Amino acid sequence: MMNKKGWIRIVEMFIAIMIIATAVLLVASKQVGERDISSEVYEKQRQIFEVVGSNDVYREEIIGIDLSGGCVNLNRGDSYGFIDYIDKSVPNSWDFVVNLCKIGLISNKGSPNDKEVFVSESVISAVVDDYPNEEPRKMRLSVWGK
Amino acid sequence: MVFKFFNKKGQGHVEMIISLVLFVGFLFFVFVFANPLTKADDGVSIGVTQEGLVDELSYSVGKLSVIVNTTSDCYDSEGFGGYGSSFVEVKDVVNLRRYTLYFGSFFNPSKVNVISCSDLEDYNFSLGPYNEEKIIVYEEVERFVNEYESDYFDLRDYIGAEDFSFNFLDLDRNQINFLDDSRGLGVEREPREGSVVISRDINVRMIDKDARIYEVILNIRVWE
Repeated sequence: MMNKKGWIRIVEMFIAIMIIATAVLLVASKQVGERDISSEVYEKQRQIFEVVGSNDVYREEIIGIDLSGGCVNLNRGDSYGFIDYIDKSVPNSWDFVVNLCKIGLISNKGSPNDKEVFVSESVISAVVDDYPNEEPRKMRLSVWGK
Repeated sequence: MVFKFFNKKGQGHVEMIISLVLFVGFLFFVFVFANPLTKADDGVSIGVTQEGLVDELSYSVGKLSVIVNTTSDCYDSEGFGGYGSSFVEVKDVVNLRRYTLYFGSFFNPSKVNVISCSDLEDYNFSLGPYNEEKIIVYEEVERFVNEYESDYFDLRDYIGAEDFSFNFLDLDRNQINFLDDSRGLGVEREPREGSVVISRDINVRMIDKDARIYEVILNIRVWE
């Protein structure tokens, strides 16, 4: 005759192992799904600023944009060389917006409210002799996953 | 007391203690050897390779803007010694009053220290700020590609001990070629079967010996 108490213990043990294994797998899968991409995004933004800041053509475009309203919002598709450069540099799965502002002003226009947005800023100063009276402006690049 | 330890009532406690120890031991094993809270550390090895590769291909380049007052004016290089002994001039095609001088040790000797407007008689000009940065040099990449193809394993150990390949692409992701022939500026190597491959695109600027600047994407692949 089989011992009923023994069977109950085996079932209890089996259920306990299942619960622990489920918890472990859940935590592990969550870790894989939530890979932190922030360092990659900020590194890419840094590379973009480095190239844009070193390119006189891009800098002239940026300095030449009228900021009498304080800030200007630029999106993918706007016909500027530096926007085209950013567009080709960010992965297709990302979207971006550029806000050009006078120093001291901030604009997040165009950034979505329901997504994780990565923002970096760089100051673009005047190009020698071309815009001697222009003040530097702030370029704010916001990036998020589509 | 010893006798009591082996009676049936005491045996229940012993089972409880043993099962508790086994349970805690199991949890310990899971979190130490198969830690589900650990984040995948896939950025470290490619970071070392990226740093080693970019460093190997780069030279320090100084940049100085010179603005002449009118297009009939020129500049002289007296006093530029502090920036370096050899420079290559690039004249702006839009703003004819602007010259950009690049200082470095790898430039084409026939173009070094040549001032294109030197036949003009007036010297009225102003200097912009001088800055220095490390830029990848086109000809260095060509040398590196040749070295990769002839002596890969020594190069791999020198760069970072990980297997790697790289490619230079334009912004539309087309392969860039050698300056003087149609070979691709990059190398291909098949990763071992089953190995984890990490790939990264880096936006970089590249300069050649005639001081032409290229904005390119450097794609690096690393596997263990």
